[in-house]
Amino acid sequence: MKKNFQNERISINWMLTIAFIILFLLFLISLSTGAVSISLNEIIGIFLNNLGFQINIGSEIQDFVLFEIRLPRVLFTVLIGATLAVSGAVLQGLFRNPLVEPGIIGVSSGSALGAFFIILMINSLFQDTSEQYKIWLLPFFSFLGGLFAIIFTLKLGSYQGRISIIILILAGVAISAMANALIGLGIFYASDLELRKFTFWTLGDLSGATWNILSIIIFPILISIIGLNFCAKSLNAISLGESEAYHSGVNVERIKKIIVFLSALGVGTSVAFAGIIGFVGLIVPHVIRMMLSSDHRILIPISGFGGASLLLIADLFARTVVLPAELPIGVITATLGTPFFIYLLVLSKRKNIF
Amino acid sequence: MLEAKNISYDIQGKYLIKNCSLKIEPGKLTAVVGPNGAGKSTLLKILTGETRGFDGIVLYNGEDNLKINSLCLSKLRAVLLQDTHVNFPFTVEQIIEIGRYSYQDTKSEKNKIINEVMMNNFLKPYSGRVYQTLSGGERQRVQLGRVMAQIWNKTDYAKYLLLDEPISGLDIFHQHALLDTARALLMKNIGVMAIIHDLNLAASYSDNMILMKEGEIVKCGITPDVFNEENIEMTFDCPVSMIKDLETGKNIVVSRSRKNNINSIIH
Repeated sequence: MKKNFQNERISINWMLTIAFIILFLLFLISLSTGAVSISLNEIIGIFLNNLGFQINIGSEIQDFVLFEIRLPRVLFTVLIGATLAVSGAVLQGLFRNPLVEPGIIGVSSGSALGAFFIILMINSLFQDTSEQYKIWLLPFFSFLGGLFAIIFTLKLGSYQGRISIIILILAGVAISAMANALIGLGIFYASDLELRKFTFWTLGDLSGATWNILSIIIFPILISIIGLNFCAKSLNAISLGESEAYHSGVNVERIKKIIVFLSALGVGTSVAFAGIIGFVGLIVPHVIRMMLSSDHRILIPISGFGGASLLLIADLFARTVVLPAELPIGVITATLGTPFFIYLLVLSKRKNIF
Repeated sequence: MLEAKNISYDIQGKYLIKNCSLKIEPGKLTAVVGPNGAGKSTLLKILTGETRGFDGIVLYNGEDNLKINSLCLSKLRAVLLQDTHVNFPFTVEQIIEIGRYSYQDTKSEKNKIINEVMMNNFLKPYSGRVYQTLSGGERQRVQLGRVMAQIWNKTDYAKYLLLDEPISGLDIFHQHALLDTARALLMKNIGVMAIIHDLNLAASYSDNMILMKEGEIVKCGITPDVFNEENIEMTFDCPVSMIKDLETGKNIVVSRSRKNNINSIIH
């Protein structure tokens, strides 16, 4: 009973400020750490140099590494981490279940199917398409796959407009199984090169980050994150049940569609460009709920900062542990996440959440 | 006035509600009683706007409930269900605040209303408590607080509170506490409709009574006219007798086993 009371004295602004400072520190650490080490002084010097001040700190190599490799990668990691955690938080809220994550309800498998489809078909279906548009195909189909998966899961999991949690999770399993079966079929026909590309894609990869990719993902991810923050009040009401939310004035069917669309947009984009990075969307909202509050007006934005911070830490591990090689990011998050997930299962068993 | 006119509702030809008409007057508490499966909750869902696709019309102060959007409807009526399950740890204040969803309160306005509602429901000692750690009776008081917050503002139009078995599963203290609080709302130009299984509580707290059976309203009117042996026996198919509570002078219904009657049918 130690958590009978929740601390509401810390205001949301303080929480946001602290979360931002933590994220910013990790951001600087990530920028300075790697095969080429760049100190904080040098980072500031290089930035000032590029702004036109004549400060002779930092070599040209450091300048290149910072601007062309590390900065896009770190920003990419921040965006992906934030959108995964925010989507996880809202989907848990919408389905009123703390064990829901985009992977469980089939988005990741659907996106994987979409991505694999385009990896296999890009040369036969889109051979006349110019390279300029080809880079859009993978994320587009991956997104489409994720969207279809979540719509199917919702349809299967709801009866007379009500979502049954158990059926929903089973529906997610079924959709994932179906997607995996189709992926298996694709693997049978795939070439070694396509297979390798796909395998690494499914393990998650943040190393492909470029300014070009950043410019593509920033809009869908920001739309998703900002839009989902506006759903916070409705999600608080939905926590009581869909009927109760409707009675309180929430247009439940509309908000469900908005949330499903926006989280599919965020997760779909993230999966499309960074592959499947599990557990960020599950763990982060949980920790925030345990530490701060279930109030979605706090939970959603702080989860965004938390997800970005967690993925930055995981990425630091991924690219420093086995230098000069790099571990797939999905391996790190799964290694961290699985024990935590099991712990949650044991906890919810004790609390009789199901 | 909350008015339902000629409501019928069927699922694949099976009628759950047959030609029901009723009026919920502001300032009056209307109790709805009837056996399980009589269609009481279905009727309530039709009134709240949750169930659509019925025949007939539901009018809130003269306006068709299906033509009012959920936001405006929530300012006209609040609904309390028997048991509200919350999966995440919310505090008492956070739950009550959800009742203010449709309003653009300033922080001080919101805190004032939450405070008043908590006072009214004797919830002050539970300030900051996590909802899940409360007992069933306390939780229901918090939920009543939430729906009260929803219709707390003074308005020039009448508002309605619909309660679906609000006291089932509560102890006698909490049953009375909840119904007393509901009656206190009548003064605020609010009409209350409550589905209640306990016939004696229904009778002693209501102004009007509606008896439902097999999807139909079999009797309705002011409580003293409706609440008698003949009507209750007919509605529930269960032998009852009325006795007088010497303290209050009110009628109390006592039910008896049907076993003898059943035996007589079998033999």
